[in-house]
This record gives sequence, C-alpha cells and structure tokens, in this order.
Amino acid sequence: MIVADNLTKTFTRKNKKGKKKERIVAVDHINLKINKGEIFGLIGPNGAGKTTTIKMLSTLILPDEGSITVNGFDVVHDAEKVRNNIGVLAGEFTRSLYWRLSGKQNLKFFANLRNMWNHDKRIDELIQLFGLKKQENELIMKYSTGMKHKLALAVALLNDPPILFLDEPLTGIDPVTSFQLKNLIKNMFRDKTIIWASHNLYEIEEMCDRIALINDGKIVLEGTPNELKKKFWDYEKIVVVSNNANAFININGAKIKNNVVEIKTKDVTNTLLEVSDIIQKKNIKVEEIKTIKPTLEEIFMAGVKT
Amino acid sequence: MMVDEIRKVGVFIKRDFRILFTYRLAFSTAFLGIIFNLFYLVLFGSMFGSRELSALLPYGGDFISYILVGSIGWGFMWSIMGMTSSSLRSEMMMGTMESILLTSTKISTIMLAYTIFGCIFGLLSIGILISVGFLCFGVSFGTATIHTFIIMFLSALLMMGFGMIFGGLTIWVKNIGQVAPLIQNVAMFFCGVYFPITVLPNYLQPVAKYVPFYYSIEGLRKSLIPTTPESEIMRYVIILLVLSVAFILIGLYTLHKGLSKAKKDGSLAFY
Repeated sequence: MIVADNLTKTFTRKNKKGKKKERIVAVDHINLKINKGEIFGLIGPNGAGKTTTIKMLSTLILPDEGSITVNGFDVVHDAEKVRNNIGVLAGEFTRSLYWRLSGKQNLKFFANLRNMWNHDKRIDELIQLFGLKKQENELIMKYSTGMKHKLALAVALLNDPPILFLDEPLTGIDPVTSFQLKNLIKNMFRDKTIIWASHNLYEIEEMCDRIALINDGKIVLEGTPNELKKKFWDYEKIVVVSNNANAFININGAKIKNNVVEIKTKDVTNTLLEVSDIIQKKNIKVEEIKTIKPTLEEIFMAGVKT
Repeated sequence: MMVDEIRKVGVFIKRDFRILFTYRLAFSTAFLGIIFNLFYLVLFGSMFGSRELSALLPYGGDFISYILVGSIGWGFMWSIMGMTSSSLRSEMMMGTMESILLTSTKISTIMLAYTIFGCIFGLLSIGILISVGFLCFGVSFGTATIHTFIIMFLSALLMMGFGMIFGGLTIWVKNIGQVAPLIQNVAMFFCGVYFPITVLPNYLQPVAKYVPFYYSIEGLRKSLIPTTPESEIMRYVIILLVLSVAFILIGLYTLHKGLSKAKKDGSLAFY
C-alpha cells in the first residue's frame, strides 16, 4: 500500500530572464492512498506534477512537507527499505541505461547493485519474458527504442518488487510493443501495485483501476474511470444524422446543426424510444444513430479547466 | 552489508573497463598522449645537455629524472581526481545516477569505485612512463622504497578526497567541470612538477606550502633519493596522512550535502 499525506514540493527556479528566482509549487498538498494490487493512474498535462510525485515516492526527491509510506516504510527515514520494495521506469527511460553495455551486462550490473549476486536465473527469465534473447549480448546503443524500453522495464523488475512506478511507460514506442507491454502488465504483473503516470488518457482508461487527475500540483479529480464519468458527466449524448433533422426538434435537450441532431439526456433508454417513435410515425430516413458516452478526455479537459 | 558494498566496488570497476574498451581509439590515444608529452618534455630538457642544473641539485641534478618523477606523480594523482569527478559528471549527464541511487548503493561506494578505477588507470600510465623512461632514456626507479609506495597510496587517498569534494560540488552547483583544468594548472605551478619551487619568485614560494599536492610530489621525489633522511620522508608521510584524512572527511561531507541539495531541488539527473 502507498499512502501520501499532504505531500508538497516547491522548486526555486530562475525566471525567463535568468535573474530573479521564483518559487514553483510542483506538488501542492496531495493526498493519495493506493491499495495493494491496484493500478493507479496519474493523469495530467505536462508540468502538472506527475513526475515530481513519482520521484518523491521513489526517494529521488525529498518532499518539503507531508509524508509518504510505501509498504509501511517512510520514504525519508527508511529510504533503503522503500527502494527494496519498488521498481521504477523513469520517464526518460533510455537515460537510465548504459548504452555502451549489452542488454545482459546492464541487467547484471543493476542486479549486482541490488545485492542480487546469484542473478543468472532471474536475468534469463526477464530476457525471455521481454523477448530480448537474440539481442542480449548486443550493445544497447544498437537497440530500437522499443527494445530499450523493454530492457528498462526488465531492470525495474529485477528484484521482483511488489510496487512499480511507471512514468510515461508507453511514450515513444510503436503500437506492437505498446500492445505487448500492456498485455504483459495486465497478465503477468496483476499482483503488483502500480502507479502509472501518463497524459495518454486512452492507456490510463484501459489500464488503471483508479485515476487521479493532477493539475498545477493539485489533485483535481479522483476515482475509478466509471465513477469519474458518472460524477463529472451525468448525461450521455444521442446523435441522429438525418435529412429530416427538424423532426426531432421537440425532444428535450435536442440541438440541430445542418442534418445532425445532438440530444443530451440523462435517460438514454427513454430518449431512444422517443427518437424511434418519431422515426416510425413520420417515416423518416435516418443515416445514423449513435450514443456517445463521456470519455476520459472530456473529463480531463473539464478537470484541467476547473 | 559491508561485504556487499565492497563487492559493488568491483562491479563498478568491471563496468568501467567494459565501457572503456568500447572506446578503443580513445583508450589508446590517451596513453599515446602521455608518452608524447613525456618525449616533448625530455627533448626540451635535452637542450641543457648533460650538465647538472643547480636548481635540481637537491634532486640529483638530472632534468630527465626530475621530469619523469614529476610526470608520474602528477599523472597518477590527477587521473584519480579526473576519473572521480568526470565519472560522476557523466552519470548525471547520462541520467544513470538516478538508476544507481534507486538500488540503495551508498554514494561512498560509488566514489570509492571511481577512485580505484582512477588508480588503476593511473598505475597503467605509470607503468607506461616507467617503461618508456627506462627503455628510451635509461632512467631507473631502482631506488624506490616502501616509503615511495606509502606516499603514492596516501596521495591516492588525498586525490580521492579531492575528487569527492569536486564531485560533491559538481552535484551541488553543476557547471564546475571547466574549473578542474584551471585548478590543475595553478596547482601544478606550485607543486614542483616540471620545475622546483625554488625557481619561483621568492614571494610566491611560500604558496607551495599551502598546496596539498606539493607534499605528494615533493615526498615522492625525496623518497626516491637514497640520501634523504628517514625522518624527512616521515614528515611527508605524516603530513599526507593528515591531509588525506581531512580531505576524505570534507569530501564525504560535501558529497552528502550536494546529494541532499540535489534531492531537494530535483536536479540529480541534470548537469
């Protein structure tokens, strides 16, 4: 379990002219509680505070205020125990590897630093799991981005940690590798607690059990994808495309633009019955009827605006 | 725990050699540079012929031997310092520093590994210089005693401390790498590497006493002169011992301060 209480981090940076220093609140009194085995999504625009939060959770940045416990260990006072419980895939994951070592040499190096002196079996397992057997002895400067990505994830998983922090884990990789990694995480690492930071809403919606939207260092929204959709968007839309669009003008919530009718409704079933009734009675030719559920993207946009 | 940290030192050194050997051309040209530099200085010295130089009389009077000892001592010391600070800088620039610190490896272990790697590199340079000195110029180091090795060892510790201070400052204030050559050149001026400090103007000579590296080079020279009284060599050993302990302590302090500052402002992966 991961608990962050009142977490705050402020940085001092020079302003654009490079002279005056200004304070930037990167993380502003955040509270998080992530349960064991949960995949928790952190979404937010660039600079929202996702990476800073992950770095604080993984002991790389010290919080100014508040406390964090990871599997019961405090990140400031028990940093070493925290590190033994976590695996981190950094945002700029290619920078976490030695390009002039082979994939296997990288894995061996980091395994030794984790005091895993008998690591051969584990390394072979990971190489097999990520399909890197053929390239295991090649310098990783020759690896494709997808392969480097897999290797960085393998490094994070060396000590089979119960907790994984994945910062933008699918950024910059091709759809096939992305699909493979998502499947791997869904099927093989379901017992792990994962924090998944991204600004890709579709992957967050697909992968995460619960989500927090972070903006300007604050958590704006939190809940399951469905909870957020219900909470933030308590209606759905019915879209009807017809040359006789004006026939639907009397339906409550209908808006007509050219030959498209957009109906906002809280009761989709009854509204659809109403639409079908009009179609039958007036014998209207309809090109398309569809219902649109709220997407996380719309919630995200609304959340960022608030 | 302690055994694990010692084993990790070996892991770092193995990694550094692996990476070094992927830069074969740079590796060999580094040693070629050392040899050419030596030839350059020795040939420069040959202008004076075989006559003894009065300023060098306390050191045997022979310019070639003087240059060779200075080059060996200075090269050895600065390869440690250079390796320590440049390794740290490149880990930060590449971004691997964060990956290492996520593994619970102690910063002192990392620095010790860099120092030992620098020592090995420095010893390789020494081996080359001694071989070239012997084969090309007939200079022998047969007068080396146990004190010579003690002084070399203490100088290595001194440079490790200096490397840690520099490393700590690198983490702390970042853009400090450019200052290293300046420090090296200024220090060389006062340490009697290529000329004895007695040739400096009178008002500058006392400055040498405040430059820690002076005691390494001067101690090394004295230890190679068979007529030097043991008490004089011991004076250098004691001074170097005190300086190296002090530098290591200051180095550890600077490193930890630099590290906690970088963790506070989130700049561990930046240089």
